[in-house]
Amino acid sequence: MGFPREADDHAEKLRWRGVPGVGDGSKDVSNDQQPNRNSGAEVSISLPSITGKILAKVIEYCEKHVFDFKQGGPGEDWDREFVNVDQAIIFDLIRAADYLAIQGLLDLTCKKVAAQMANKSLEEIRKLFNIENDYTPEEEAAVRQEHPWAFFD
Amino acid sequence: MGNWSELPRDLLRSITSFLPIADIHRFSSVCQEWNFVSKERTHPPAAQLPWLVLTDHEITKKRIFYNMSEKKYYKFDIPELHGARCHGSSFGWLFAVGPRLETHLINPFSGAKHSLPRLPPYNVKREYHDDYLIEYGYIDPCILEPCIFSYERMQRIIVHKAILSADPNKCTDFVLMIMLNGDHRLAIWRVGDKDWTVFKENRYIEEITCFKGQFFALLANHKFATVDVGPEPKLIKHKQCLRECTDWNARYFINVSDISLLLVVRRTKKDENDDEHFTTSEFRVFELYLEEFEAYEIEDINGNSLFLGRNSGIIVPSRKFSGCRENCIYFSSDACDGLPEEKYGYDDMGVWSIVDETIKPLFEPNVYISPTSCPIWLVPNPW
Repeated sequence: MGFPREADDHAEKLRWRGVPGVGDGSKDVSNDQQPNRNSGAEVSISLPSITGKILAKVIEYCEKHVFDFKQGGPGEDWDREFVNVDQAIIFDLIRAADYLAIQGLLDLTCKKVAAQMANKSLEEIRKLFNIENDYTPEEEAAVRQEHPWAFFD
Repeated sequence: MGNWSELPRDLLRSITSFLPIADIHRFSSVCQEWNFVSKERTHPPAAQLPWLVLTDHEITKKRIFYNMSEKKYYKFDIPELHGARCHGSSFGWLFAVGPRLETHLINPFSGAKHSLPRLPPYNVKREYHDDYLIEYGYIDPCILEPCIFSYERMQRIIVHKAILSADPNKCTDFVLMIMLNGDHRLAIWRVGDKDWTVFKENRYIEEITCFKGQFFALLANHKFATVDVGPEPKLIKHKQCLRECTDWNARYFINVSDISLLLVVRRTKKDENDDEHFTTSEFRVFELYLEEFEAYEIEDINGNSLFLGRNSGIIVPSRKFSGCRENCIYFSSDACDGLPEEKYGYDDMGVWSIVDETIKPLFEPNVYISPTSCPIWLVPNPW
């Protein structure tokens, strides 16, 4: 079972063969093109916003989780190592998992992002995610004051 | 890299579903968009192990809470908790008695509160003076005897335990039930009541629980009773049970999601060097069958763990939490029947393994905890 694809740097077309237990295809695919999980029929889906590199990662996840499905999945260690990547890749993986509706990958990447916020001050979180602070100092103080116990900086 | 601040809201919501409570508050302060999403409260905070409510910080007087999952201390500035003793923890709400016997029901993580009426006297009446209290009771049928207590002592002993029938976050028709010390008489309060309703019966109650909306009590002679909280509150006794559970110092009910009820018994032993100092030596766990009012000892709890003390018993699926040992009882200190509370306190805490029958330390506090304090478990329930 594979994911034959047209070799291209920005994988614009993907031949998707229905894969049981993992995602059910892109959100944008119209009904008569939806891959049927058990049919084994090939369907073309265009993926304009996903690079070849990210798609390769997504496929790696899907193959691992499908092939090891009967053993209960590849395990937490494999999952943890899979998301041990640059911030930019995590961002793209979240978007891809959401677009392709792959719940397991979406949960894994969101959980990773949540774990990254633990034990960090606000400034560290803003720096890691490149978020601009759009609060005035007074506004930020007011928000912190709602639950002052949670802040250690 | 990708622009995180342009992440769609539904993805931000997914991320918040994995954030525990302290991280949610920090998340909400990062920027206005994240604040908007966190305030929607589409998910409860990600579950962690129960927290321990410790004492006031020596200098700042804020209440110290210990997060078992993060192994971190947090300080809460809640005026009603200054110098207060927590005699109950139920659905994430604390029952606290202040230094002058002011009594409150507080949710420390949401800030919601209920002020409660003055606690009833043990017997006939109570007089409040500047530095002491006087309790009046009939020792002889014709003579009203006064008995003097310090506020400090009364604060420690006045209530043995407090439990709720339902989550006050979700309803206002819950019942708050307390076991008054002395003869462990029951009293109840509902929102809007100006006074406590005290049960007329004078029966020594050991433990109470609310299971499937019904209150049950364990009486001193090992009998069970159903507790009727109707217009004329009373106990309805059932036949004797727990024949094997004599000679135990404390008993706890654990409500396993309204499906089954566990009873845990705790035994203490004297310190070798101090005749009046006691620490816990063992536990036994029983499953209760209410139809027959029988209890059967069990050897493991299906990989879960229990958190016991003054709080309503908590059961936790250990496998979901790293660092949580399976089939264990995480216990905090609790006054055992009839023993002077000042003779053991926060040092009677630990982790009992049901399988090995051994006790290991709970954690090593690196903040000052008063020896007579009673740390209590709490599961945050902010919304």
